[in-house]
Amino acid sequence: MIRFEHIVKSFGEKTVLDDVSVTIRTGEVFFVIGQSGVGKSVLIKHLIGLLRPDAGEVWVDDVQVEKLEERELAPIRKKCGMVFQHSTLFDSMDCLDNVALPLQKYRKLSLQNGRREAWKYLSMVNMKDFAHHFPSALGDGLRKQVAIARTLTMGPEYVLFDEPTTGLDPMSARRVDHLIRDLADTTSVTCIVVSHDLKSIFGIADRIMMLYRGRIQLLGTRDDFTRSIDPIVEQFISGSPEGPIEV
Amino acid sequence: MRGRLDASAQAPDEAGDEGRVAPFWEGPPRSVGAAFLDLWRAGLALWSVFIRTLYYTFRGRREKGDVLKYALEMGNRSIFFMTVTMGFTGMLFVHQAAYQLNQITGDLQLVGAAYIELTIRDLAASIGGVVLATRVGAGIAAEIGSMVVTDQVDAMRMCGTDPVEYLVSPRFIASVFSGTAVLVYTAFIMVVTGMISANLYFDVNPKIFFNFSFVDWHEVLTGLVKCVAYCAAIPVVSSYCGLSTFGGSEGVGWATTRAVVNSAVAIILLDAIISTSAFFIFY
Repeated sequence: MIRFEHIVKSFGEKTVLDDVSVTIRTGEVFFVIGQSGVGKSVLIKHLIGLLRPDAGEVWVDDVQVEKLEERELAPIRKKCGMVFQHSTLFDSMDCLDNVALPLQKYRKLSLQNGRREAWKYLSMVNMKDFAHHFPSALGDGLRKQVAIARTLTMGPEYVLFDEPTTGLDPMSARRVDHLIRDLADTTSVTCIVVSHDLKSIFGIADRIMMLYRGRIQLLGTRDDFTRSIDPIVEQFISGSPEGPIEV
Repeated sequence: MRGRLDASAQAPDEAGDEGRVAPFWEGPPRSVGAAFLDLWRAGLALWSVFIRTLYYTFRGRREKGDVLKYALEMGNRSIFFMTVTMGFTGMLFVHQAAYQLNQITGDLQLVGAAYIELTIRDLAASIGGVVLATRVGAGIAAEIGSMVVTDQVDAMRMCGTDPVEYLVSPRFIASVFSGTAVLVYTAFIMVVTGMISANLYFDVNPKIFFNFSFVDWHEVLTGLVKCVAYCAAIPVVSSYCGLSTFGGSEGVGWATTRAVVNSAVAIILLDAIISTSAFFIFY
């Protein structure tokens, strides 16, 4: 279980997260939604110690993450994999070596054994045929699938997806959605997804949290969101330019 | 904590503290204190990058060919730029020095000897170091900063890799070797262009100009130590600026600027430390 308790985070004068508290249950697909720059990615980066809160506590199972030193974060980062918005594959390595890298680092496998193991993960995301392609030769959707494979190598209990469908064509986006849903359904991995993509949100989410001006505007199921009469939630879902949301 | 943050987020009239006179410590002393704290934290972080760089230089793993790639980038591709800038700098120095000396004593016999000593001991390394930092430092900060804003550095950390191992230590090794070679070459260029200037404008015979009688082994050693120290400082300071990038392309721009400014400051501080130490050791 993941718990954020009274998280406050500012960058300079700007308070991005202001007293955010939420508990994420094991095995669910949990979406964090909101406008650009509202602090969605900032929130999930706290989970793996890439950012530290100014106040509040972050708990992954029974470990208080913000108190850990950089070298103590390795087990948490193994437990919580992250798929970044830009895929972040290393351009100097082919897809196979990109996926093999964490296997060498975390499982201390040799390069050969790491590559052998990496094949399995590439097949899981249907990317076996692209194993020897370099990331620069792949489209965004395929790169994202390789990035997901790389994250899965660590055997994570939680996977954090930062805008996984942004910039993808609709078919690739739905393919990524299915991967996320399958991951939660077949392996009981908890998926935390930061997204603006309403099709993804209403297609695969178990629960959704909307952030607005650094605070939680609404936390609930898909039905709670569709039934909500909160004008801010309504405007976000309808995508209307007119309404109470301040740009 | 929450209450304090809320109060500071509200406008003064909403907070109900109209007419409140802020105690004096909330004014300039607080700003100065905060600035010192920021400087202290930045110093600690820079020190941490430096120590980790040293560690990974001897114990870390590197991509094959990385050091050579960066050495070519920092060394070979800087040669034209360094030749032009430092060549003209050498000419200007000698022109100004000879002009002043001519007015005071009218004797230019030792202008070459004094200039060569100064160039080898300090000028080539210090001025060359600052010039080199504008090219190499900016490049390093921009490259690493771009990786930070596109999450590549965070991805490395998530893969259990310290970014210092893969990004900083190869650049550090490359800079120490190729940067030092470039600065030594710079000294040669400055001496040659200085001689041309002295000969063209003041009719100083090249044989008289090339007078190495003032150059002792400790002058050469001091100059070399400076070259190595500056070439070690530039990648560490610039990488630190790159790694602490925040925001998008604007953040990368700021990181680049900070890399050049901070590298120049580091070079001047190191110059003061090494020159003072050399003075106490050798004189």
